[in-house]
Amino acid sequence: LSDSKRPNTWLLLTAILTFLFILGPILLMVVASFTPKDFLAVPPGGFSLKWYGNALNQKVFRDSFVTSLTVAVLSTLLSLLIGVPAALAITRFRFPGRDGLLNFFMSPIIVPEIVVGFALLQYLMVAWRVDVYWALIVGHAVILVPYAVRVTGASLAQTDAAIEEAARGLGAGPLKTFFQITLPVIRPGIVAASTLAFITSFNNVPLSLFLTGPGVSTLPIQMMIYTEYSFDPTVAAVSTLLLIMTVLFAYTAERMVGLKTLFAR
Amino acid sequence: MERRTAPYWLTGPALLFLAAAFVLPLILTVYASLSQTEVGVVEQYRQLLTDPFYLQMIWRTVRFALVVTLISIAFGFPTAFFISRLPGRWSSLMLGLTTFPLLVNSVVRSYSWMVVLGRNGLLNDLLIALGLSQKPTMYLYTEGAVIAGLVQLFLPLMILSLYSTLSHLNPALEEASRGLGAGARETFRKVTLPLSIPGLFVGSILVFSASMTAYTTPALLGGSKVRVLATMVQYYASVSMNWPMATAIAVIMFALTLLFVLLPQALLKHRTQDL
Repeated sequence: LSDSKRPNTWLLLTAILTFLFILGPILLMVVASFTPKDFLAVPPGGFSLKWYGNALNQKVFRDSFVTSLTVAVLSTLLSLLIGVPAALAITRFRFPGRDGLLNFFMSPIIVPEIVVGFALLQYLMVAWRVDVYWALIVGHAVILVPYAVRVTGASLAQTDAAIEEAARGLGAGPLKTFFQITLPVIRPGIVAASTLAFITSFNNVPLSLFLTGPGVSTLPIQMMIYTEYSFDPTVAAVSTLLLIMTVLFAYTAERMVGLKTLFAR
Repeated sequence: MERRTAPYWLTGPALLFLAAAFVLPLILTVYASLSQTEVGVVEQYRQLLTDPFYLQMIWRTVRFALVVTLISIAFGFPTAFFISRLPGRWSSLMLGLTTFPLLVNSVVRSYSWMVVLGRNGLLNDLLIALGLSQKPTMYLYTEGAVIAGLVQLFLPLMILSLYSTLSHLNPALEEASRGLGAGARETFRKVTLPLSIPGLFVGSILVFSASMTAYTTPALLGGSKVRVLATMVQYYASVSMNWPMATAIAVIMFALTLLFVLLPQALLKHRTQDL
């Protein structure tokens, strides 16, 4: 008869409201993307794939999708290439300036991305004349470094440095030890870091907003531009296609590393 | 010998990369703002911080962040508490549903509100059907639309931070409280709530700073009618091409974020050191 056994209906209702609020609009948008009408209609009043046809026929969407994918892959690789050795140094060595360096590697998180984007527009693109594609990759890599260092660092901290010392003691060089011992052990950390970095780059708006040039722009930016001059449901169709991609991505991420670990702090 | 130099070789590339592609552009931006303005530095910032137009913009940005954080606590706390009491399989499912939106593009999430708030949107249909409204009203490009979009975007961050604290609470503490005669309400207020302060704190900082610096949602759902600092930076940088002004707003925005993110952390550190 204690009330702790009674399911708390008030809690349940709040939770339902919360999820309706978070997921409801997205589900409604998916429904509206199939409308034959030329505005976002719920109920859709029929079933049509014409907005999907329109979306796939837009060259800007196809091109910017390829740009987004390329930039996401290359900036992820770049951030891991410099972030993993940095994480290794910070977890495996004690040296003067270690704490300061760790804070420095995390610092891109505390600067608003729109501020970083504007600074990179002025210097990377206008003053130093870096090619737009490279400016996008470098700019994205800047905000991915903290994830690369933190996630692989956490993975390194959980593994025992003794196995590396054993390898060294048995005569393996530092590179051989890294590639044959350390890397396989922290593989889950690397996978988690790349997953998080890829999705962060692919979805980025505030940096990509400033780092565009003739014919080079990312998909999220093109979607925003499209909504400025047209209210037709084309962007809902693009969004639904992206949503399907995200579901597949989330499923793979869940299988490989567990979604929970990605955003755990 | 090798152990002494290795850390510097390993951190060198990341250090140089961030110095060249992040710190240098930022420093040069701020430096340019302090030296190149025709009206003078002090005058530029004085104008910004005394002009009612800009003050209103700054206040609106901070107010949005505050309101979004409070709404996120109001809905996030019960939801996180609810999830933490579910049996394993159900709580994993609910956590998945909480995490998934964080992977969805913010353009997609904010755009989805057009279906609800637009002139032909669901909200209008509903209000007219209920007789609460006569003709369709535009709910997009209002403060309410921006706040709704931001809450949808950042509420999952609050739920996840609170969940990680609540799920690590020792249930024995609550049982002890109940066993000693405290009611469910009193147990929650005197045991569960105080123990979940760390999660509440982390979640609030995350949601607050994310809301203050968000660009996509205010741009899509507020447009030119409801401008915040982030959309102002973009406006002055890319539309009116007034770079000194864009920089000044960017600097103020950065300073505010530092104030609201680092100050509470410093205070908390100070307090825990006292304990």
